[in-house]
Amino acid sequence: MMKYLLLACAGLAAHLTQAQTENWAVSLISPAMTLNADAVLRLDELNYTVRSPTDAVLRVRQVITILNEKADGKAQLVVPYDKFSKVTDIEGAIFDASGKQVKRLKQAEITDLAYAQDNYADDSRYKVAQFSRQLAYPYTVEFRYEVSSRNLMFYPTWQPQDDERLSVIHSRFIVDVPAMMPLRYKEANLTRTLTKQASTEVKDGFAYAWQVDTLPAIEQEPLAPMLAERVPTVYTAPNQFTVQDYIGSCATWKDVGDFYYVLNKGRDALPDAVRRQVQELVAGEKTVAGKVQKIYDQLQKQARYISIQLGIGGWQTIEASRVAQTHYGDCKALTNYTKAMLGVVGIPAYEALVKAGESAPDIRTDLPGFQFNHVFLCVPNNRDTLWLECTSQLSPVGYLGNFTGNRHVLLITPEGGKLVRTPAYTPDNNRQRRSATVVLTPEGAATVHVQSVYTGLQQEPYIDVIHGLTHDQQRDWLIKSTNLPSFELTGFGFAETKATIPAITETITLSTRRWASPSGSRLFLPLNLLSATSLAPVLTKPRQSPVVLKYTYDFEDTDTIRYTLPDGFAPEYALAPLSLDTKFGTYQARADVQGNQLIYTRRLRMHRGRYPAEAYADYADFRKKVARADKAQLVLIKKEVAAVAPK
Amino acid sequence: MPLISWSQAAVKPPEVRFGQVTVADFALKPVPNDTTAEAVVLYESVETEFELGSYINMVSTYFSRIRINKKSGYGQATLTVELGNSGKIRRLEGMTYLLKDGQIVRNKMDKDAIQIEEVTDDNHIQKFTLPGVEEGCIIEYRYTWVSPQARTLSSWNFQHSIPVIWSDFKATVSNYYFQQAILTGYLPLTINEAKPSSVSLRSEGSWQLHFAMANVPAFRDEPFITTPRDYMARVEFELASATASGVRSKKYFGNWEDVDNKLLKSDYFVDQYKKAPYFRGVASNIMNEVSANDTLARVKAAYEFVRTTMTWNERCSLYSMQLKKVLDLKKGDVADLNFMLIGLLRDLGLVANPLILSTRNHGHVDEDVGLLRNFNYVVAHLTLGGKDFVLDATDRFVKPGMLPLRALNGSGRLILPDGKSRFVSLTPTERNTRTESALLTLSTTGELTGTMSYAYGGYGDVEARRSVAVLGREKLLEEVKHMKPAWQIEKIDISDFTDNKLPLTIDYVLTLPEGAQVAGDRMYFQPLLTEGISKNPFKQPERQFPVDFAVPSDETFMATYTLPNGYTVEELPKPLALSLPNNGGRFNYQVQQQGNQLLVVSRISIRKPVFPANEYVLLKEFYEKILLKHGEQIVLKKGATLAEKK
Repeated sequence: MMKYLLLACAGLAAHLTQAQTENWAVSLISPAMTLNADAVLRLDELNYTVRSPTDAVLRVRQVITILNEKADGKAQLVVPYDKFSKVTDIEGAIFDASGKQVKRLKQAEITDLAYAQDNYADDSRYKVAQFSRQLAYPYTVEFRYEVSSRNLMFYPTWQPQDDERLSVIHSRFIVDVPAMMPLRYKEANLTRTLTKQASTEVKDGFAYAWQVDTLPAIEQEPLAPMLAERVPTVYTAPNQFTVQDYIGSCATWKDVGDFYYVLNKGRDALPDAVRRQVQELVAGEKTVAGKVQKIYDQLQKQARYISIQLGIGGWQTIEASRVAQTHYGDCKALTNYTKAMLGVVGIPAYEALVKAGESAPDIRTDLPGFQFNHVFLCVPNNRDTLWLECTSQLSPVGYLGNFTGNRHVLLITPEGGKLVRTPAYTPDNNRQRRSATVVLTPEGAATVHVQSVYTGLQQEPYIDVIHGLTHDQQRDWLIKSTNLPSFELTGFGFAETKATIPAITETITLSTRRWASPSGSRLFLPLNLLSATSLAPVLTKPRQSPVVLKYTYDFEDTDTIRYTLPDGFAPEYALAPLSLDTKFGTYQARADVQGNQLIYTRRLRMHRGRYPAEAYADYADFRKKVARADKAQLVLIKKEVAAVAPK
Repeated sequence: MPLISWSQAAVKPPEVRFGQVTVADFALKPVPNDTTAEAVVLYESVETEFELGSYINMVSTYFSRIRINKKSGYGQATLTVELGNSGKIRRLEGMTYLLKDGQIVRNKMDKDAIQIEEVTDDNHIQKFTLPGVEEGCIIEYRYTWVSPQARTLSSWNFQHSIPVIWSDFKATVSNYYFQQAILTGYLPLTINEAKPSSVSLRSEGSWQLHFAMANVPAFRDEPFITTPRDYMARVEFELASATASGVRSKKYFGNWEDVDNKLLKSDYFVDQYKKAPYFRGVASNIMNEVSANDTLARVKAAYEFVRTTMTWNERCSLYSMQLKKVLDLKKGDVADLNFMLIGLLRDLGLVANPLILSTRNHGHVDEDVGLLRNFNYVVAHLTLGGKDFVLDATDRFVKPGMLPLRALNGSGRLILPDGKSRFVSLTPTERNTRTESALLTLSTTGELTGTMSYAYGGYGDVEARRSVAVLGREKLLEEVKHMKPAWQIEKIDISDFTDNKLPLTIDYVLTLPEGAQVAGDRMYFQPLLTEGISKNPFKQPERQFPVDFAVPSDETFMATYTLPNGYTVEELPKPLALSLPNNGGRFNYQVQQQGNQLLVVSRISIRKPVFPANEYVLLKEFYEKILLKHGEQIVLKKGATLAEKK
């Protein structure tokens, strides 16, 4: 014990000596590095040392200057760990603006927390270190820590600039590996080349080293590409690794798939009673599609999702027999259970590993590895593929939406992993077709009937409204989300069509005292109150980044409004039809009068795309023209008055 | 309201036992019946008693029976119970029931479905989830929660986000621990009983409490309320006193004198403001610089010193622990800053004292119930010219005598020695005002050019200053450009926001290229341009709770338009004057022609901070009429000269 204590003191002394040679005074930061920044990463060292397929250690040292309260979160250290890893030696110090060390981190300032209470069961945890004493801005914090791990499925990613409003002065990434386990990596946005030399950490090994200096913070702009596409990054992945008794490799996608297959093999046995139920369930069905539909319906009726992150990095499923009893599970368990039920009736199905999420970037297909956070099911059916999201109680067979659609997934087959793409949704799939009738009174009041059909990605926001809200809550929601100055909702309803491209029809009737505004003998009629669009954000500085219209821009909206004009009223002038055709999208609007009927039609069709920075002005101009046209008003005048106009 | 009283039960509670679900329970409906609710609590109860072990344990048995109607209600089947560091769960059971072909199928929760999680070292939680949950199923769970530390009964919510058919609270409270019950919300109790009993830990006797509510509708949130907690049906308890062997040994706060005395004896309260030892030099400076005759000037000097020297860390508090350290950091919580201010005022020889209150987010304070935990905030109080005068050093922008919006909540308690403490109304003395004045010239192409000026007062001024200070000139201009896409701003002038003596003004020189719509020989435009009301803030047809604006308000728009040569006025909106009952508010609107100019005035005054729910319809109608009026347009016609028209 005494010996240990002495050693600890020696270590401390060494750090203190080092601290004296380094100067963290804020005055040393050049003004260019504080522009657009809330924090400055002064020094960042990430050392990852792989000693064997079952043993690695990550050593981190970070010095960060917090310029204002927006970056306070970065003065806090969060280190996740689990049953396979251990966090050791968290140290820290806090410095004032002059660079004087004010205090060192105390043990009492380090807390140990459960990872996420939202998960029903989760054995991962994290250590949080935070100084109880807050200094005046700017101040600087330093952290050092080590994480040793026995699970080498995941190697670190180095991306020092992980926030637009962070500048980086110096960052270094060193990976030491045994010669037998060469590092697999991919670089992005690097200007300096890697150095590779003999390792000082691992006998007969190699050390790979990358470095970046002086990365200024990034001006935040609307419709900019994702940060990960713009900043220096090195992705790494293992070759061979061992977790518990399982040996795996990430050399190819086939290998990655093999590992998952073996890890989860033989966990799909179902009790006889359930097997019989499944057979009875599909008895009348002749086709694969029909059987899949029946089994998926049964799953959605019976089973529910509960987040469980236990075991080998959360990658091994609960047995199907357990799910058969409890009727709940996480994505792996429900997918495995569905696969097992399909297996009973001889339909093969494959797990599809995916990086899910509506704003998740696609995986790097050139670096096989465990880049996934979710799994669902793929049922091959001749040319068609039936995709089943087993955690959803509501999704139709085949529809993936923006959670798992339009990206690469890894199919787990007995022959190993196979990389395939999930369907992308086009503007024709993602529509909003609105038709309305508006009967106007001379005072501008109106009774209105609106039917809107939403499909594909555009119907997604309505699913929770239909299934998650009570009638009263739906009414409240409609009142809040309908874009009219004032109205009474007199009736509403929703209808759902479940299909590969699902559709939702919303019908509302309302009355309003102000659709049009009267002034004396005139009635001012805004033509498009329901679907008016807004402008693109105004730029106050020259645009720097490319313009990215992401997949949410793949849509088409059409409106047809039939107005019944009040007796004796007619337009004071005619409105010229408008048609815009740009590389970003097209727009048409027109208003035609037939007797006392005025028919307004409008169509806005957009699509995804990537354009140079200069294109922003054109894009803003297009949006401006659309917004102006959407605001068009027609002036109606009482005919008798027009006839006896002054003079 | 204190609830311990005698009363007769008019309604008999249903007899419901764990494990005894019948076919009829699947058809049980709440009144009123919301057929679209995701789930319904058929019955829920808690029974609490005290138990003598090596400690005195508080033992509560919770029981719930819930029917899940829709998939969105599945969340009801997963429960999290906070155990703290010493609480324990005893005997946890769960069961799911399905009705299949007229038969009840049971599925029992097994041990694997139960998880204990150490969130932190001293906070453990227990989670459990029920098996076999489907639409239409009934779930039941029951557990006993044992706490060796608790002396105060846990609060009980009768109302939830789903409807409740019966919610039942029972407790046998040892005479060692007198409990005070406080009911909140807008719903009546169906059962309200309290009677003495011989049940004892030793031989002290006890009280048996029984409260219940039948047919509790799901709670619905509304805009313009303080905090949902104030409106939800709930019973809370406070330990009134504790005795041992029938002799009152330790007294807890049950009345206001106790609350006052507790604070007046606390080192972390009274000792922190008796004087301000760290500000000595400051007090003498103020005394040298400001004449003793001008008390208000001295108060202001002290107030400015504390609030410009110290930064608030956004935390609310009643107590202060380490003033010296706070001073060192120049940053602290509410009590830190305001105790410093009180101390400094006292060093100036003024009678300054703390006034405790509850913020709007924290909830309502009931003057009938002496409960310290209902408070979370403390400010400085003085009597100036015989009137109450409050100061809060956490806000850099309010005027002396004003409280920030968060603190405007009913009344606060002024803590004075010698039994002189009293309540002080926090009704705001200032309004939220904004005046816009426009001076614009209209061209024949429909373009408007000129100036637009904003002047703010009261809370409007406070918030405008804050946004200027927080955003800075450049960001503010950027925001305005985003908010007012129709404006081309050539120049922006912001008056010195740091000078609290002058009202804040923001002046624009601007062009509105499409200010008026030109069609043929006519021009049309809205007199308020884009500055009028474009949406009724009240959209729901009815309202359950009062509308709480926090402060009265006044919004004025004035414009002078110079018309282009060769145009005459064809139509002008007619004037309108409206008022709300009980002097609640007024609207005045006028468009007048004077030669080649049009003068526009619109003024909306809301004079009461709070409107009762029964005035909601009138308030909604008031805004509806304003909306209609603001939508009206001016029509100009090319042709005869203006003089002829007159």
